[in-house]
Amino acid sequence: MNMKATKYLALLLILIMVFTMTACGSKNTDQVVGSSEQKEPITIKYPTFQVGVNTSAPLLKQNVEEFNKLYEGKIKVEIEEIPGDQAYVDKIKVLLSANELPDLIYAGGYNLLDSALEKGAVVDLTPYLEADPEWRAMFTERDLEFNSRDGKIYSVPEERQLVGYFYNKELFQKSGINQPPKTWDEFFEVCETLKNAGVTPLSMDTADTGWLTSLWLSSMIGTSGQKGNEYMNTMNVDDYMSAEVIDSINKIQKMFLNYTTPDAVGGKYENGANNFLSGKTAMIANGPWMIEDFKDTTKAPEGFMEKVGVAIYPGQGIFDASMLGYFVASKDKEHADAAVEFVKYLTKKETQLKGLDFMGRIPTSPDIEITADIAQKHPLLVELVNVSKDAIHSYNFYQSLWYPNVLDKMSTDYPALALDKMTPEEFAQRLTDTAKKNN
Amino acid sequence: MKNKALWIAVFLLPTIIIFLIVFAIPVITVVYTSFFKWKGFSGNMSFVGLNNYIEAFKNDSTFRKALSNTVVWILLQSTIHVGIGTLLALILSKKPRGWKFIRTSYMIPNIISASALAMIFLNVFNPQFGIVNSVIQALGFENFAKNWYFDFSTAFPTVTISWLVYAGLITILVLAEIMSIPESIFEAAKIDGASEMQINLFITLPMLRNILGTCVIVSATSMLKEFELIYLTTKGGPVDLTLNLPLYLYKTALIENNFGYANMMGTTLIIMGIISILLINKIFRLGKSDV
Repeated sequence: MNMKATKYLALLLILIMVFTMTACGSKNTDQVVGSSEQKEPITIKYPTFQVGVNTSAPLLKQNVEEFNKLYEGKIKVEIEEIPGDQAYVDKIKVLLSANELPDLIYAGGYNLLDSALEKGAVVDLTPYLEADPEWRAMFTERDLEFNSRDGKIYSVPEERQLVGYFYNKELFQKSGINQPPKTWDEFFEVCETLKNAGVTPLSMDTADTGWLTSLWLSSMIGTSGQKGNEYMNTMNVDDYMSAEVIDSINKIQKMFLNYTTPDAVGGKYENGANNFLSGKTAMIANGPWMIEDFKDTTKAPEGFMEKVGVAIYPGQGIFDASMLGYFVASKDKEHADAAVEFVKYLTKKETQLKGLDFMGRIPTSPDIEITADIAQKHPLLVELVNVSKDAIHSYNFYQSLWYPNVLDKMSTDYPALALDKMTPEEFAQRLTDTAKKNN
Repeated sequence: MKNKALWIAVFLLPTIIIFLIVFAIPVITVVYTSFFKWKGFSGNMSFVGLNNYIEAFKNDSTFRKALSNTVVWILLQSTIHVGIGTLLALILSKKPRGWKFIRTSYMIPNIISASALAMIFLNVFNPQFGIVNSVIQALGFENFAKNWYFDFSTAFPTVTISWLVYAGLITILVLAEIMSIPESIFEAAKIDGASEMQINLFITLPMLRNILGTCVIVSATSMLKEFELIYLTTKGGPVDLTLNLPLYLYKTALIENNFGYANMMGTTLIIMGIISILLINKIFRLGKSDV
């Protein structure tokens, strides 16, 4: 009898355990659905890479805190920290595969939108924009068109990304260079002059799509003529065998072999940034978000800001294109409405002005002008905006234009190119073969 | 008897249900979908039979490279890695001075997270400020600046070193088994005039057959899922020199969104695992008596 009772008791315990596990698994779903009956605020899940050492981290943190305070009791934004752009992109793709996209996603220039749209996971923002003309006026028609598919607006940007390159004026002067180069031939002459003066000319990298390197590559293509410029404004190209592209890859190889640091090969963005900030290299291709690092004494020496100048790329080129911004992937209307409220907050005039003031982020709105106060606070930003007026070629970012597997292939093949184990033609062919896998 | 069988079945049922839901059904799904062309997030799939497999083995040089790298690492890990761990266990079983400290500290790489280990190795082998190059430069080779992880000649060995020599787990397992061998056997051998080497070779090692077989299985199968250390260091580069099958599967699924092809690789890995375990079982006669 006792044995039987023990068996029944053990069985009951096992069943309780199984049901508890099942109940735990469905707990989150219960919290999401039927929120109108809840007294709890609607929670918006927002994973982001703008955390930690990312230059946008303090601003985002402040924006989230202010938004949560403003909407206390109604909406609460919960950040999930995912340091590193590539880690973030990978995470979003995993969530997309599992049909568990968060409420809000920031594309940040990466093409996450089209994959999400393929799964029908994106909320159409057109009705929200039409219902709020003041909000719609924050964006240019060019930006809205770039963020639209089949006539529907699915995402909105929060900034305009004007990207040239920064150079160390002190190292330039020390080497006898008076001004940034205007042509690519002059650029290589400048590199040679710097090298002869004992200065490493360039910060480059290969890891994580090789951002620093690829900005130079894209600019070389984008300023090579009409064909090259069209190429750098075309999405999803699958042929890298053109003369413009191969010639640019050839130049990149020359830069790796002669004008950069040993740790560029295999190095991440942080290695390249650190080399520039510590005065080891004279030039770095990057955007205005880096300007705050020049003032940050935990990253750069005191007074480093005054040593930095900004220029457009040789051939009078600059990155100045629309970018994919925030899109909403909530599964129910209440969460979608709440997520859109947060996006409105992030992109409204006051927040864009705050971004401009706080970290020199260029607003997406054409109506927001740089005031005298802001100009005094961000002289390098003003310099960038001023020099950008001399650009005659503008182009988009390779991350937005090229297939994700091509970006990955670039990263793994750059070392071979850099160490002269691969010719530019072979590099271009491998990118082409990889791109064609997407067809 | 029938009642007892019923109770056993009832108690096993929750475990079986969980096993089916969490493991068996996903594995069957992976194998099933490996016969389909399944790309993107639209959910459209079309049956293509063995096309994914034929494409991989016949036309995809990257797949063949990843497969061969995986096989090489399985072989190295099963032999050298287990060999190092066993050798150290044999030494530590003699309880030399500081043996407990050595046993504990040798485990440290096995208990640090793979991501932390990868960061450490990236810095150790950094061509500009890494300790390896710094030591070599201090020895008189002032211009030495080898890019260990990305030079064609050193990339594969450098990645391999990340896990090959850190056999702490093997050492602990083998040492525990050695400690369980009755002392009387060793004493009898010594009385018969056997040397330490003879004791190790002809008595200790044969008695470790089962644990060594288990260690070889653990080591071999660990290479079938090795991902973090490669992803966080070389990402399979330069070119595809350090690419293995799990990383290629990851890239195919999450970067190319080619799920059918990725599941083909998953199925290949499962088959490789089954073959490895059966082969190792046969070689080491696991579960069979020594007589």
